[in-house]
Amino acid sequence: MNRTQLDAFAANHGLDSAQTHRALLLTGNRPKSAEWRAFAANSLILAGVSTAIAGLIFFVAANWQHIGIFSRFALLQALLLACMGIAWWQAPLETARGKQIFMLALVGATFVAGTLLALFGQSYQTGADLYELFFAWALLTLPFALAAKSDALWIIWVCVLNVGLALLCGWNGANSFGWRLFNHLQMDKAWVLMIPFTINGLGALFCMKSANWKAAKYANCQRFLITLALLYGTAAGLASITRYGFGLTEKATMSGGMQELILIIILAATCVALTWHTLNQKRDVYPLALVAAVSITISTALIIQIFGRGSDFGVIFVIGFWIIATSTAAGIILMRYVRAWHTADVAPPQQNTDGAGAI
Amino acid sequence: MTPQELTSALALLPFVGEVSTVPLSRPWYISLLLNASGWIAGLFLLFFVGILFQPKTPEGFFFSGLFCLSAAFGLFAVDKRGDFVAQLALALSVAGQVLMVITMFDGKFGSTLSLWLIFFMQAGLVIIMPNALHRGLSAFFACIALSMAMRLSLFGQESTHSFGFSTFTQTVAPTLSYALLTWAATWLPIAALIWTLIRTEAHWMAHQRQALVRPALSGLIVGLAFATMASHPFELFDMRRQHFEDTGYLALWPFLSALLAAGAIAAGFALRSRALMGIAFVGALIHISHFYYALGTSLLSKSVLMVVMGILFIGVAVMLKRGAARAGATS
Repeated sequence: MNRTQLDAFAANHGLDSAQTHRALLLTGNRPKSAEWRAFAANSLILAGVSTAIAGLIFFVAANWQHIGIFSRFALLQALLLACMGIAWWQAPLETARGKQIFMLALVGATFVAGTLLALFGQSYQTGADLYELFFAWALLTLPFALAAKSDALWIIWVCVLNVGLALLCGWNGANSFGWRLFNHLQMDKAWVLMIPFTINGLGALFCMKSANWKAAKYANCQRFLITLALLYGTAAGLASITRYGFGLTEKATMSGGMQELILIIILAATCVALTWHTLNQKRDVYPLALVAAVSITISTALIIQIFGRGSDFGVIFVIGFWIIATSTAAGIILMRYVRAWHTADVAPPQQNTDGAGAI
Repeated sequence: MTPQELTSALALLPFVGEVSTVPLSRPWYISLLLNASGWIAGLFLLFFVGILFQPKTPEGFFFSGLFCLSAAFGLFAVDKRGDFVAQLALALSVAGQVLMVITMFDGKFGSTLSLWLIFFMQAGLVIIMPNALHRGLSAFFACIALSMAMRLSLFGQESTHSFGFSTFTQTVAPTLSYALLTWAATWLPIAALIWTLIRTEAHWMAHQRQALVRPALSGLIVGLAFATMASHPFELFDMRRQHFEDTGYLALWPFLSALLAAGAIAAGFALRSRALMGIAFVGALIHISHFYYALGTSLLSKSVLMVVMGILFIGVAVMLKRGAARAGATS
């Protein structure tokens, strides 16, 4: 029982302070002193490793002239080797402590590898674009993520890759190598944003379908990939709507309007497929919440595009109430699924075979 | 433990309809969706109210704001479960609050008094508005208003513009002890309030105050993790700021904020709330990132400080683990 359920329980039974206190203890809602100690130790280790890594990054960024280039590289490479050595040494250990050190060493190695690449760029002025650093970083640290088999390290790796993708597809100007490539292909910016959408979407699909990756321990990584894919998809959808408006505005050309319509259809089809998959799995409501957010955003942008962006009394009224109505409906439907799937989790199997659906 | 097991463990009489009356908490992502939508809709409603009533004087803004807040209260009171019209009520409340803020800043009160009034308005909304989401948000905004009001009250004010927004910067460079005192005066009462509410949880639960205190407590914890940053968002990463180059200790300020975020993580752990712990952890990361940009000391000194702190943290953690292992062995 969590606190929301305990709140209702205490109110229903009219518990006094002593009984409520006991209920909090019995349901494990009050951490014991041993749990506090473990929490403090784990938090300090996490804070210590993060602070030390951040300090190292600051050190490289400071570009201290008293240390030569060779020494700087030697320092970072020694650290990288040390992290990898610790991970190698702890890898066979099956104890909780061993696993924790193994994991932290690989996280450290991931960040030190990135810092090393940054130092390389800083020292030799290679002229490379920033996104290349992030792609090289992602490529170099892929073995660490594979070895760690950890949700947390995969999320860090996905972050690194997506910073590179965001720089390449959304941020960098027309002079970058990536953009010159896309310009040759005559890709519109909205379509370029569909590249990270596709990459993250394929990653999420792999997580959903692969036997090893379906496991609950990768649930956060799967959520993260779906979120990123839909974020890029929404950005692409908004870019296309505000630019062309499906031929609904005077600016649009027929071919431009058709291209954008196809893009929105792809985004809509992805949302439908994700909804279908989630409804079949009956496990996690999170993807449905994302689909709701994308639908509200895109539909609102469409209303603004169709009815005009001025300070017209009626348009502002319609937009405000559209957002309220759609978010209210989304909230009601999503909470019904939360309740239904939670019940499905705790109910005996024979009670969950009627196929009556979630609502 | 199920409700039935807890009922027998506490030797209580069974409550009729126990299973159906035990609710599930709303997941954080649904709250976020509703919250964000409510805010955006609120801004559209604000324009709508602006066009409808066309308020031009502070009195006009005040009565328009009062109208929106009253309507929001009425809708929340009608839909106590927050299923149907709560979003409309939240949007109306957002519009009303913005109008009230305009009233205060436009009403010749001065920025400091206006911020104190906003703080009291938010504190009042925590008590008045019968909706969990709203109470949490109001508690969070009360923290932001308090932090800004304390800062302007103690250091004076000067309106500046950065990133196109009006912000406030102090005219007086504070001494270290004075700055620390202000920090303590602002945040220690909030930290103490959170600590007290967690300690007395059983008491207020027994007195049926869950609907009021629980969301307010969450809002305060989020406030502890983020309000130091949210109270001056446009100054935080402004590299052009040259106000207090001589006051090097200000470079350490993000660490104090990170300390508050660490307190918020601990509070989240005490409440067994992963969502609160996650939010506070993000807050701590942003504070550490802020340290990179904070002026007043060299990047090299910062890096040495960070590495030393990292080693210290790990050392203390190892000592704690050894102590725990020894305690386990003796018991």
